[in-house]
Amino acid sequence: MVKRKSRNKSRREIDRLSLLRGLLIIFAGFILFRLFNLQIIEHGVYAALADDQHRIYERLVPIRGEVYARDYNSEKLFPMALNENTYLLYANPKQITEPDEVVDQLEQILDIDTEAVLSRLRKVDDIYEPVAHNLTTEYKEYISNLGLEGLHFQIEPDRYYPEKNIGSHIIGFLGNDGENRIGQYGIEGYYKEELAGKYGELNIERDAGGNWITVGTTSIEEAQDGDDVVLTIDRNIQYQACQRLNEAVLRHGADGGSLIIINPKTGAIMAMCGSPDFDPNNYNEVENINLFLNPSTFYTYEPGSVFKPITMSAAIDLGVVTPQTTFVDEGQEVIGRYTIKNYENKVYGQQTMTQVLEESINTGAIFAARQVGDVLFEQYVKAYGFGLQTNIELESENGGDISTLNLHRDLYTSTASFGQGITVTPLQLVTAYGAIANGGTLMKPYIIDEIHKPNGAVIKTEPQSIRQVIQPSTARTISAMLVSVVQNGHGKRAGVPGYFVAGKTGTAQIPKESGAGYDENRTIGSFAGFAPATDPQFVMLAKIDVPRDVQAAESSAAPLFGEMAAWLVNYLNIPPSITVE
Amino acid sequence: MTNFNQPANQSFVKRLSLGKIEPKLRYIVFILVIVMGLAYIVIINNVATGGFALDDLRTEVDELRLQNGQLELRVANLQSLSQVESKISDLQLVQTDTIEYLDVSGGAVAVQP
Repeated sequence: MVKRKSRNKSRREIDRLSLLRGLLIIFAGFILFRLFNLQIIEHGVYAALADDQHRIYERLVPIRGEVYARDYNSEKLFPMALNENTYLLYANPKQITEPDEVVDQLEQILDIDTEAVLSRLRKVDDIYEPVAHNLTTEYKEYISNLGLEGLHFQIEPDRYYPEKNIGSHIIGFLGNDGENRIGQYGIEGYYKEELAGKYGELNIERDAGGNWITVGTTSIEEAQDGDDVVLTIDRNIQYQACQRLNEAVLRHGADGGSLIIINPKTGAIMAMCGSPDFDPNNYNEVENINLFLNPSTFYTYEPGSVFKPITMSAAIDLGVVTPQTTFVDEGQEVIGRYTIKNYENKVYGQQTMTQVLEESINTGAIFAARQVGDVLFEQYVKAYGFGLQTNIELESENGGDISTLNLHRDLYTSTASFGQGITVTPLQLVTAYGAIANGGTLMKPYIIDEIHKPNGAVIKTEPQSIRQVIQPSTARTISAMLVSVVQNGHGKRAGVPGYFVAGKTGTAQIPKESGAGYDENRTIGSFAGFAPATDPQFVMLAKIDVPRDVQAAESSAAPLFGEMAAWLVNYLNIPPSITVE
Repeated sequence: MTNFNQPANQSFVKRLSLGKIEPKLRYIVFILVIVMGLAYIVIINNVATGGFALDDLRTEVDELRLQNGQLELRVANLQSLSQVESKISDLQLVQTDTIEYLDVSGGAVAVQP
C-alpha cells in the first residue's frame, strides 16, 4: 500500500515536470515565433529603424522626377530640371563653447545675419539651430575643414535648371508654399503631384509618453519616387527661338512677345518662348510675379488681321467665295453707328479674295464673313478651337473670349472677321493655323512626349486629332493664298529664299485701358504661318507686344518669323523646293 | 489491479505527458534544440557582421550616388546651350550662307569603272 502511494506521488511529480516542460516549450515557441516575426516578417521596418535617420529619410522621402527635352537629331535627352543635393548647415548649440568664434569664422565665408545666428548659437539648451541653407559641396567641405565645434550638415534637396531662362515659362519652378516645396507654373505646376512622387509612411506605436514601443505594431510604406517627364520640345529649337525672340523684343523696345512652333501633323510643341522670361533658379528675385505666367497660354489678345485666313477658310470651305471672287472696297464699312475702315484708311477698289489677304483688307474680310453668315461663322471659329482651352499640359491656360459671336450680330461678326472684338491666346492661334497646314484637321497641342514611371514603364503621348475643321481642298487653297501673302503681300520679310512659306501678318490694336476704343499708339504685331507650304514641317507664331520703333507687324513679327524659319529649314534638313538664282 | 484513486482525467494527462516520449526521441529533440540554437547564434552573428559590411557598402553607395549627382549636374551645366555658345564664340565659326542638298531619290549615280 505504501509502495503504491509512493508510485502515485512519483507519477504526479513527473506529470508536473512534464507540464512545466510543455509550458517551457510553448514559451520557447512563442519566443521563436516572435523572433521569426521580428526578423523575417517585419524585417523591413526594424531594418529601417536600425538605420540612421538619413536612411529612414531616404526611404520615406521620394526623389522628385526630372524634366527633359530632346535633341531631334541625336534623339538624346537633355535635362531641363534636375535634382541637386545642397546642404543645410545647422548647429548644435549644446556642443558649442565659443559661439562668438564660430560666428566670426562663418561670417567670413557665408552671407549670414551675424546677430541672429549668434543669438541662436547661444541657446545652450538647444540641440538644433539652422544656420544656412542650400550650400554647395564646395562650401560644405570648406566649412567642414575648419573643424568648428557643434556644426553639422544635412542634405537638402534642391532643384536646378541648367538652361536657366530658356523655356522658363514651360518649365516653371519648384517653389515653397510655406512648409513644403511645391511645383509652380509650367510643367512643375501642372505635374506637381506626378513629379513630386508620394511620401512613404512609418507607422509606429507609441506609449503615453510618445516614445516608440519597440515590440508594438509597426509598418513602413516606402516612398514612391516621382515620374520623369520628357517634353516634345527640341532644346536647340527652343534655345534659338527664345534667343531670337528676346533679341527682337529688345531691338524693338517692345513690352514682350511670344514665339511658338508646333508640328502641324501631330500637334507636338517644338518650342514655346515668352519674353520677358525669368531664371527659375532664382525665381524669388523676380519683382513682378506676372512674369511667371506663360504669355503663350495665359495672356489673350485681339489677334487682328492674322485672323483673316480663318474667316477666309470658312468662306472657301462653304463654297461661297473662291480665291478669285472679287469685291469692291470703298475703304470703309458702316454698320449702324459704327464705321469700320482699313488699316491706314486705304481704299483698294476691286480686289480678289487673294488680294484681300495679301493687302490685309478689313472690308474684304467683312465681305467674306457676310457670305458665311453669323451662325456658320461662329461655328467655324469654334471648330478651330477658339473660345476653349486647348488643355495643353501647362498650368494657367486661358480659353480666350469669343462670346460676342453668340449674339449673331453683323457688327460682331464683321469685327471678328479681321480679328477684333474677340480674344485668343497665341497657342490657340498657332493651333488653328496648324489645322490649315494639316489638311484641315485640328490636332490637340501637347508638350509631354513621354512620362517615365519609377518602375521603368514609359507612357507615350499619342497625337490626338480633334476634328476636321475644313476640307483638305480648302486647306490647300488657303495655303496657296497664304504663300501669295508672303510672296506678294505684307509678309515678304517672313519668307525664306528657296521655300514656299505660307503666312499672314496681323497688327492688332489694343483696347484703351480707360474708355472705349483702341489705343492709337500701341499695337501687337503677329505673324502666323508654316513651311514648306507643300508639306508643312512646322507652324509658327511670332508675336511682338507693343514695339516702340515700328507699328506694323510686317516690320516686327514677320522678320522674326523669317529669321527663325530660315534657321529651322536648315536645322530640320528640309530641302528647298524653289531654285534660287 | 485497478487504481481507483486516480482522477478521471489522469489518463488524458498521461497521454499528453512528455514523460512518455521515448528516450531516443528525447535525445534527438535535445540535440536538435542545441544544434538549432547554435545555428541560430551563428546565423545571427553572420547577419550582424554582414550588417556592418552592408552598412559600409550602403554608405559608399550613398557617397557615389552623391558624386554621380554632382557630376550629372556638372555635365548638364557644361552641355547647356548658353555654355556651349560661350565656348564656341572663341572658335570664330562662320555661319553657312548656302546649303546644297543632294537629290538621291533618282538613284542615278555614276559608277567608277
